[in-house]
Amino acid sequence: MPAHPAANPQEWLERLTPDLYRELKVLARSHLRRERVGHTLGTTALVHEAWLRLSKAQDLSPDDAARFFGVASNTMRRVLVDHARKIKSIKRGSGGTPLSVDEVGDFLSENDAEEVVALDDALERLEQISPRAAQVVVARFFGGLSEQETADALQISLRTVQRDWLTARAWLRREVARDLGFADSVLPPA
Amino acid sequence: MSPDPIPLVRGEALTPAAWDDVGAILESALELTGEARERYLRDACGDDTRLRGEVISLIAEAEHGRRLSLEPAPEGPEPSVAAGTTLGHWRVQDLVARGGMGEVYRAVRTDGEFTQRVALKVVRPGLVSPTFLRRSRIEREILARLTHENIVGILDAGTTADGRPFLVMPLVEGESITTYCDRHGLGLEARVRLLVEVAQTVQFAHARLVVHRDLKPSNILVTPDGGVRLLDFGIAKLLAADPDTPTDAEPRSEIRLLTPEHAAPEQVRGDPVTTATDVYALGVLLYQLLTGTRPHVAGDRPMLAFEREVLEVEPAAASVAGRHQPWGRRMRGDLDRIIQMALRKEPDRRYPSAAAFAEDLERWMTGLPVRAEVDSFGYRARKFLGRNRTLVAAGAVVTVLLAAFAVTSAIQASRLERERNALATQQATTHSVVGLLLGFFEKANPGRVPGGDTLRVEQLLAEVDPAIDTLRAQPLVQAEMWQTLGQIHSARGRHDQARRYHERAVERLKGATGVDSQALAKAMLNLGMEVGYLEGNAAAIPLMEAGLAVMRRHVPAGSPALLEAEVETATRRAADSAQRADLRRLIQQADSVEAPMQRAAALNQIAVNEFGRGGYRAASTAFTEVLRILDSLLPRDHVNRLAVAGNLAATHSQLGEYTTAEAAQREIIKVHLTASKVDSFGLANQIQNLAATLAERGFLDEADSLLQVSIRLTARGPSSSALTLHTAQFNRAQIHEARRRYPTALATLDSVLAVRPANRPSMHHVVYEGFRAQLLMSMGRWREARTALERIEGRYRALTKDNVEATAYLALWLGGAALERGEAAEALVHLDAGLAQARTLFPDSHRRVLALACARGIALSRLGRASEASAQVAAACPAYRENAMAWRPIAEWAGKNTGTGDE
Repeated sequence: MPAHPAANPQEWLERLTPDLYRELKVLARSHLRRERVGHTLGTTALVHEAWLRLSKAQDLSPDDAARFFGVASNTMRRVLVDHARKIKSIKRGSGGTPLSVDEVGDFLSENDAEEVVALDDALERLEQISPRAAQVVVARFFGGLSEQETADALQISLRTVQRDWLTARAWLRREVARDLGFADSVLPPA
Repeated sequence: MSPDPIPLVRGEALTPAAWDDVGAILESALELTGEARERYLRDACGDDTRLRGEVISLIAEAEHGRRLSLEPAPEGPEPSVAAGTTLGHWRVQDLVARGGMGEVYRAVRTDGEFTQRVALKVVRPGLVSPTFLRRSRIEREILARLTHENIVGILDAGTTADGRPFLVMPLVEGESITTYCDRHGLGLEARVRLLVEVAQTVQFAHARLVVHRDLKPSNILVTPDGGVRLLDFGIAKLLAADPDTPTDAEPRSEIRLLTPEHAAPEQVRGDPVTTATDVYALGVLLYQLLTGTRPHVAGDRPMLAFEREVLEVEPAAASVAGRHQPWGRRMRGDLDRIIQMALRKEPDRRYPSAAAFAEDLERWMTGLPVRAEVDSFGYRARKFLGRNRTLVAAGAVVTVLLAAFAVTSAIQASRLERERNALATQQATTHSVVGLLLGFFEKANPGRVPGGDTLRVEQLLAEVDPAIDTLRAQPLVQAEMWQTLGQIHSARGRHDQARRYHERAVERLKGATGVDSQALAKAMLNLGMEVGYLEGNAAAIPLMEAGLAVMRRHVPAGSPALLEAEVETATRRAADSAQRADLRRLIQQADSVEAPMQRAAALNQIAVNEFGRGGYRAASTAFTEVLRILDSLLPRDHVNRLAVAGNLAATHSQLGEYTTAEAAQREIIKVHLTASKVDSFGLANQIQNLAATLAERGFLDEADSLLQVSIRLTARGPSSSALTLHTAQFNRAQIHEARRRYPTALATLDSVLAVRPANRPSMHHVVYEGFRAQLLMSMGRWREARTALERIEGRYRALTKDNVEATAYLALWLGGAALERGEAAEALVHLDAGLAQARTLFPDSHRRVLALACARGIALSRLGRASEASAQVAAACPAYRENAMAWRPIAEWAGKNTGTGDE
């Protein structure tokens, strides 16, 4: 990991990203499928775990944590989405030598992968409408951050996080459902 | 009236500003319901129908939309336990889930070298009263005792600083059972097998009065090595509402806490939850594993509509819902019925227990008729009797197995029955030690546990064992406990375990002073019987004689206990005239003290001996009498009663009374299949005997498929069932021979002969060797056959000297061989002797009599005794040839004789 951030936090975080990508991928592989609690893919602990390791190794402040969580959430999104797309392409059997699922160290089920890809597409659309809401979703979904942590990381108010979260979650449910072919699952009452 | 709202498509029309408007309206609207919400929306959206449509669409998603798997648990204001808080040995990391009543945190161990990651569950604030705390402590203790490999138990428990109970359990490596099945592409059987394991685990908990009440895929993990792990046993109840705390906000808190799609009708109604609730959830789980969907899908409907469906609507049959699965069609019929039975709306019409559900699935897997549709005996009969019966003109030689029965186990069965009843009705005190032990087993009596069933006996036996070790100071009590355990193991066919316990009991009693010698005698006799099962009667007799000697010194002659011991010992002695005299004497004694069970046991042994010597008529009379006695003493489906009924039917079959035999055998098998406990060994024997009867009648296809069923049933059984297995294979070889599939017949027979009988040289073995020679002669390999017959003749005669029927076989083979060599005079000697013997056993129309008579006619004709020959040939040969079970050489010679006329 790069050295202490004090000199230039932003630069430190940028240099950190490739390592973080690898680290989160390892964590995802070892924990994600195994530790499902209820419906949720347990991304929460992954970013936190990475933070715990990092902060133990280096003397980091709570401010660093907020920045870190923001970056780490985006990185986690890339880890999951890259992986989900790879699984989808394997299942589809297109592109070059087909890899078996075992070879890529599958940590998403096929259904999860479908959903992650659909979610990523929807998030890109949401970024056009409200970049802030999209960031809230990334922090909550991929970073597993709590509402307060999200507010801290994005430096916006808790109220805003809560409202964006409420709206974006409903919006994404609908968009993803349509994308996955459950288009008529929710009909507005007549 | 405003027009119907039109939802915006893909949100494209939304601008950043509009997003914030939608968010604000949505947030407010979600806090309102019904009319108030309608009114608010009209005010807030004004004429903007697109805005209104978007908000309404999002409301629906927020309230009923399909959750995304990445969505974190909905957050309350703040986790009630802050990250970093230390509770006992655990440091809380973060909130991972929140239910209606509780929260789940991830935590790590604070002490120790390694970081153990755990799940920590805590009741939410404001839901705790003193009563609740007391109840949850009791339940925690119950859960702590729930140690089972497949159950993820509680590592630790405690109370938070603000007085809320929390539980700690391990984080399990694994994936949910549904994901596991799909990712590994498991087939139908593998999925069913996994569910059986889950059900058996649930049964284990039920026997300890713990109901899961929230079984669903996310609570059932499969580890990387394929092990099943059940999470959250009883937790739903532990974390469920405190009855003392008014919870108006959440009227049906439990259902809120649960996953509605897995909830049983009684949970939806708010009725009491029982073990039947878990049976329902297991049904939902199986449905989901096999069809890919749940029986009732909540979807986007209002909760009430969904709940009404759960209460009132029968789900689609699994084979319909899962018709796209590769195994869709295979679910039709039995699996559909099994699932329907588990999913019945009325708890008391479901399977009575998780074990019963598991057992029915196991029946399905082994091809046995399932019990779903308990009331319909007709269904089971159809399933069993409905197999295609194809008439094939051919025949088979048949060996019939007879079952002897042990009087002790029969007497014990009726006694156990009585004591159990007494316990159940509270009409007797459990004063004796055995009574206490039985009381222990009574725990899982169906009458005690609502929806419960027989417990997992192994588990309980394992639990009792260490308890008995603590009784060191009371040798008599300890020994009696061990003997009871031994008897239970014995009844379950675990004779080696049984022997160990009886050995312990004997040693304990021999080493102790002031011990009642009758107890020692009993222990020695029990030990002897187990040794008999394991090593044969020869090894058992000395032990039993010794026990009997001790007993005779202390017990007055004619007491039932002594009589019982004498009968047990006598039936194990070699079947000779001395034994017969013994048995007759014992029968008289039994009559004089009115001990009908002892009489039945002795008489049964006499009949078995008669049968073994070919004395079928005498055996028939005796078996009839035994059955009459047992009918008055034992339930219809008792293993011993069924064994004797089977013996009688087999005797009818031997006597050529095939119609009577077949009807009785089918009836017995039906009773077996509907018995409260499947005795697969007894069932295998009966199926095999029915196959024998059918083969004699020429129904070779059905006979052969029944033999295969019997082999499958027996192959899973203990080694003591080897004889049954061999007989079945031997009989299959006979059927192959009758169909002129000689190489197959020979290979099958050789595979049986390759397994040398363990201890004594057996009559069965040498008879198989004789039949091998017969087979060789059918194939035209006469020289080999003659050599084989010469080699075995001495041994054959020695081992079959008491069995007239077996001696008659030999006469036929030797006669046939002589005829082929052109030695008609020698043939006639053999055949005369054989025919005389066969006629003492069978009527003239019997296949074996016909074979010998026809062969004799051929010999006479070769010798030029034309008039005698033509009479004999005319009387026997046409019938024999028609009977087509006929041995090939005789049938062919007979064909020439009748075809070309006498020469």
